[in-house]
This record gives sequence, C-alpha cells and structure tokens, in this order.
Amino acid sequence: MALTSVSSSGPVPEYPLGIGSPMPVQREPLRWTDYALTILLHAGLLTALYSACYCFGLLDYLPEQARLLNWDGNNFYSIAVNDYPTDSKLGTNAFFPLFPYWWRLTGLDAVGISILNAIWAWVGAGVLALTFGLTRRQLLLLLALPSLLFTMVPYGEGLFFFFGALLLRGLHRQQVALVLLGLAGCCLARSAGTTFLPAYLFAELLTWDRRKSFGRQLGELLAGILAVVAAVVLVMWLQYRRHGDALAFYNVHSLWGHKFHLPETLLNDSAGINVLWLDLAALVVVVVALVACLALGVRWLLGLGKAHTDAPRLSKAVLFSLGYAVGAGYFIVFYQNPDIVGLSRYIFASPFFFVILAWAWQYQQTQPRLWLGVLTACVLVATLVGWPWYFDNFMPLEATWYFVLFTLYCLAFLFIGKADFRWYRELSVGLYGINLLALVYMLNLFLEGVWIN
Amino acid sequence: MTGGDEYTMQFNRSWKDLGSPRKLRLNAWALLPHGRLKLNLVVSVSRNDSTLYWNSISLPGVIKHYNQWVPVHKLLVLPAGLVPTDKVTMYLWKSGGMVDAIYLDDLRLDKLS
Repeated sequence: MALTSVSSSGPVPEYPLGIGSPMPVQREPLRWTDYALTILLHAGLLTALYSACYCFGLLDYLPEQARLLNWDGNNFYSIAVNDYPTDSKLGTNAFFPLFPYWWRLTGLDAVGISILNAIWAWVGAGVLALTFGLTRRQLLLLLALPSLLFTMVPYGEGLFFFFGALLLRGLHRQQVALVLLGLAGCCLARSAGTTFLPAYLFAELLTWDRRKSFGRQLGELLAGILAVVAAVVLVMWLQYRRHGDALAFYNVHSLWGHKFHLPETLLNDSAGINVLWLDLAALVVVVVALVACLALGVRWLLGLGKAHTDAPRLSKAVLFSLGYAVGAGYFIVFYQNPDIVGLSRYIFASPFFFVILAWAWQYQQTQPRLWLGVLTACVLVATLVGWPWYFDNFMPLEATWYFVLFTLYCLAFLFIGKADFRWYRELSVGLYGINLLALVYMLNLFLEGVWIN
Repeated sequence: MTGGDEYTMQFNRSWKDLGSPRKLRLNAWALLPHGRLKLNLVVSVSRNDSTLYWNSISLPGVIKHYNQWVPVHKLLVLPAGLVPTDKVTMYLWKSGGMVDAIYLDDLRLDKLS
C-alpha cells in the first residue's frame, strides 16, 4: 500500500506496501493475529536474552521496584501517589498527568506498571503494522529499537506511543475521531503540544483538498487544534489548583535552562559515548525529515496557484511524523544545546519514526539514492560533534572508525528495505540482534541508575 | 578527590608559561569507581575576574571501564587575543552523583600550536 492518503469511506487499503514494495509482497495481507504473534515472539526473545545475560553475569540488575523508580520514574511515582506538588518550582511539574493518574488508577507497583507500559507500546506497534502493512521482519526490527526501553519503565512513553499510533492510524485513514483521541492522549501523556501543533498544521495544509468541502476540512483542522489546546489547558488547570501557577510545567523547563539559544559550540551528549550514537542517529532522522519537509513545503507553495491535479499525495501520517521529527530536533538543538541527550527518546521511542521509516522504505523505490542523502546526514552530524579532530577522547582515526560504524548502522535500516539488495534478510536479522542487545544493555544502565536521559 | 568535594585543587599557570598556545591537548589518566556521577575535567582561561574561555570533558561520558586507570584526552582551541598574563586553570568539577573517591594522575596540557 502506498503511503498516500486513504479515505475512511473508500476501499480498505491493502496491507502490504504494494507495487514497488521493498519486500517480497505477502501472498495474503497479514492479519492482526500475525502481528500479535510477532510481538509475542519479540517479547519472548527480549525476556530470554535479558534473563540469560543476567544469569551469565553480563548484566547486573533485574527490573525491581526500587530500580525502576530511577530518574523520571520517581517523579511519575510522586504524582501518582501525592498528586502534583504544592511548590510550583519543583521539577515534578514538568511531567504530564495521563500516565501517573493512570498508574494511580491501576494500583500496580513499578514492575506491574512497567509491564503494562510495554504492552501499551506493543499494541501501538501492532496498530501501526496493521495500518501501514509492515512485514513481520520490519515490525520485529522496529520493536527492538534501543530507545524503546523508555516504554518499558514507569515513564509516560508507553501511553504516548499507544495514543500516537492511534493518531497516525486516524491521520492515514482520515478518521477524525481517532485523530482527536490520539492528539489529546499524546498531549496529556507528554509535553508535546508545541511540537504537535506545527506538525498537525503542516500535515493538514499540505493535504488540503480543494475538491472537498472547505467548511468540513476547516472544521476538522480546528477540531484537532482544539484537542491539543484542551489537553494543555487541562494540564494547566490540574497544576494551577495545586499551587496557583498554571505555567509551572513551562517555567520548570526554563529553570532547567531550556531556553532558546543558537548553538555556539560543538554538540555533545551528557549521557556519554554509549548513548551518543543513538542521539546522533535520531539527529540523522531529524536532518532527513527537515530536508523532506522543506522540499514538500516548497513544492506545495509553488503549486498553490496551479490547477488541482489528481496526483496522489503523501499520507497525513507521514507528513505529521516528518513535522514531529523536525519539531523535536528543533527543541533539542536550540533549547537544550549543546547537549543533545534525549533526542533518541523523542524520535525512536515514538511511533512517528515507524512511519518515517516505512515511508523511506517505499520512497527509495523511486529514489534509489536516498542512501546518499542519509550518508550525507551522517557526515553532517559527525561534524557537529567534532569529528575528526575534536571528538572527545578519540584520536582522528579512532573517531573515523566510530563514525564509519555509526554510518553503517544508520544505512542498514535503509538497506533492509531495498528490494534489489540480496542480503536484506541477513541484514535485518543482524540489525535486530544488535538492537536487541543494545536494548537490554540500555535497560541495564537505566536500572543501575546511570544517566541515559 | 573524595566524597564531599565539589572541586579539586586548581592548577594555575599563566598563558605565557604554557608557551602562549593556541591549540592544546589535555591529557590525563583517570580512575572512576562507576558511571553514576557528574564529573568534568575543566580548563578555563581568565583575566582578572572574567572568564575568557571555558571547556570541559565529561569523564563519565568517555570512561566506561571502572576501577582501572583509563587515558583521557581532549583537544582545545583557545580564543584569539589572549595576553601573556591570562591565567589558565585546570580542575575537576563534580556536580552530582554518588559519593566516592575519584583518582586523577598525569594531568598534562600539551601545546600543539
């Protein structure tokens, strides 16, 4: 199925990627049970690998109550138990209420809610796979992204992922109710409103159809904006009733130094060399998304005065995902610089990367040299962190080797989607294995209390 | 450096004593007990009370082998317009994390140009 707009009233799209599919087209569309079994397989492999590594002494910590409450987990727990604090200056105000209130409702401990979070995310991944017709191999690869560890701990990412998946399905199928539910759910789960609004406007404007009713389209657009605003206003009210400061979540970010400033030095990562590669990979996604958004935006502007054509347009879900990636990158690079820690959490622990990658797999059927663009983006981000001379604690040759591996890692995601690449099966299995190992390693770091964001 | 210290003692030299460098390589050997801390090796240049240059390397960021000596290095480019009396300072800054002893040895600033 092409990632072009699909109407809910039109024919149900075929689930495989369709003509020009990067993978051999399935004889029959995969059903939800196929995806459920794939997710169960992944859950089993993840559990087996973690427990085996722990048994062999390669990992030191099990996901226990106290260890799962590290970092933001403790803040969410505090809101779940005590509600928002009465002091508007406390960092707890930066966290959004959907997850902690849901946690309180379930009455589960940190282990139980972490499992439930993972299930939310996995169900969301299943929804995406069903919506965009991913193959089992593609789904497995995406499920093993290391940053998805944040959906397996007491953080808001699990619910964010689930509602994000509903949003993307709604955008792709043009089901307004799902879009509104997804927008509101995401904006109650995480501080996403400022990223979502531009992305939503971008997606709606670029798919504006002059053949359809102007009033209806405007109504849907305004309804989406209202859903985001209503969610943010609800958060403001929940905090206001506790301490009288409706903008506490915003002010806390200011106290943390998250204010706009242009980068003046090389970018770095406060989580260190073992997380940097993931944040840089996310930055590559941001660069690619930025170029895509600019190209699509310019094309849309140039076509404003021209007569409408029936050429298929890109799915709203793809446009929204690209806009989201650019927004997340903008926040990290301009509000948190020079530290890019957390970018991989924004990009890879979200459903939006799933859609961007599905689009890239399809896009390279007509643009087979997409990999050159990704390669260029890899070189650019390497330069931004000091390669080859100023990369901390690395001599130029060592830094070059680091970034060769990094670039191969990034390119591998594309090449498993290339129909003419003979080794895509082996490559995807290898990439899944590497990602799964990185996932358990990162989870172990989190449980140890090491800063990984 | 032990538990409660936020800063180590400082090593000060005038810019002229270092050979009036523009490019420097900071070298050291460090031993960390674990990665659960925020620890930076800082180099700064000051004139009177104003800081003209500040740069650091995060030791837990680059050291992933604990309870053993690990080499650390970083390339520094000082700003133009320094004068011979400007003071180059080097110190360890622990801004958070677990209370444990941290060791640093062979701390050196090598002039490259």
